[in-house]
Amino acid sequence: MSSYEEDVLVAIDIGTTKICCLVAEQTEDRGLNIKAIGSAPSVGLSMGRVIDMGATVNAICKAVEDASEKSGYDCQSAFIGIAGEHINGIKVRGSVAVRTGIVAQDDVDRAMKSAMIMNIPSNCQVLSKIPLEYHVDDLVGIVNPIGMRGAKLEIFVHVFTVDSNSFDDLRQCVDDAGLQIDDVYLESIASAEAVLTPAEKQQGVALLDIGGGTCDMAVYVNGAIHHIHEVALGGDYLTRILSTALNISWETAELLKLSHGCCHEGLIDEDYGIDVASLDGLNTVNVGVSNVCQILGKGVQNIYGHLSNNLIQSGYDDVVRNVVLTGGTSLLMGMPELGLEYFNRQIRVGGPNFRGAMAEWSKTPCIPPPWA
Amino acid sequence: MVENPMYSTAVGLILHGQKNLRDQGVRRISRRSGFPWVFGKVRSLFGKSDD
Repeated sequence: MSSYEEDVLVAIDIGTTKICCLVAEQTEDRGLNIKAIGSAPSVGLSMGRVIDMGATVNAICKAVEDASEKSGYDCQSAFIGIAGEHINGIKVRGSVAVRTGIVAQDDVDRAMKSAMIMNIPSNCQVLSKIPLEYHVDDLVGIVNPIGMRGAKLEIFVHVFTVDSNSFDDLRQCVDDAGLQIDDVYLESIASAEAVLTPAEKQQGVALLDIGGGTCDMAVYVNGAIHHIHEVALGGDYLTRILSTALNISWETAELLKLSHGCCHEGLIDEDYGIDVASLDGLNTVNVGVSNVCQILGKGVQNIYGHLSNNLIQSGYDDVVRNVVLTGGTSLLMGMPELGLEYFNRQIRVGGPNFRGAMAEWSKTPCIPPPWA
Repeated sequence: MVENPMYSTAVGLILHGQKNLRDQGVRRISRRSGFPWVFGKVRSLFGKSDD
């Protein structure tokens, strides 16, 4: 294997509405050079669970083929993301005596092993275990205890478990698509790693990854992941309520959302009408942009409301200082403005910084509204 | 440099892979191919690659 091959990474984001395959090369300075982004519509998943294995396999194949053609690489293995309500986070604690009086890797490993002595439901398996902090004797809040002097080491770990059947179904789909899996990672944490700054994670931040089918929330406090939550509401939900309220087809509503969508009335300077196809496709219907905005605004408020309630119920409402929006639906005009009013916190739309041949191409993923 | 929220998860997965590569030295088998479309077509037709 040449060193050139070792510098290529492939990731597949298996979403509810689209499957995205990204091929990247590592640059000499440890940066990333995105070589290609392949995508295909996803129809075989619901809420992160596979509901049609054949359709999912086909969509993965198409996205990978697309990325292979664009990049010139034959993608044979990939890092896979997983999301869904079937993923649970549990915080556990482990404790050991430090053998030599100076904390070594072996002590950390034993502490982790001690923490992992826990009852996991028979239908679940551990997806990942993320250390939150260490205590050495009475000293708390330690990020890396190795080399520190003390008699007792404690570790606090956030363990994420996943429903075994859902997990295995997803793995099987990737396998059937002819790909080996390098690793499976929690999507909400992956997004956070790409979007959040260390300072935001330290201060307390809620990342809202609003995709087509779902919205994943990840809460970081003191630099570590503390809470995740997912709701089955996203861009598709907004399209659906627009379609129902205006009595137009889903496709017409989606186009209307992408071309003239806005969810904050303060951003619309003047109301005007747009002719769109009627439900039967034989006539046109004139709809006002302010009407579209009101409908989308109510939908977005509903999404924000679910997440806000979960923040309060989980006890993290007081420690979250910032909100960061990401995911395709965060591009809808007015999302940060409405979020600012709803959450009353610093809010921004964030995406990953990357370089490469596809960077310019990927700059405009949807049709911008006329006033953008 | 471009910020695009649509690809946050995919880029995050790549970053995770990059960290894995650095920390654990995971194997890399995505090879450059002279005929990438051929492999893609084979995969589409038969479901699995021939390796």
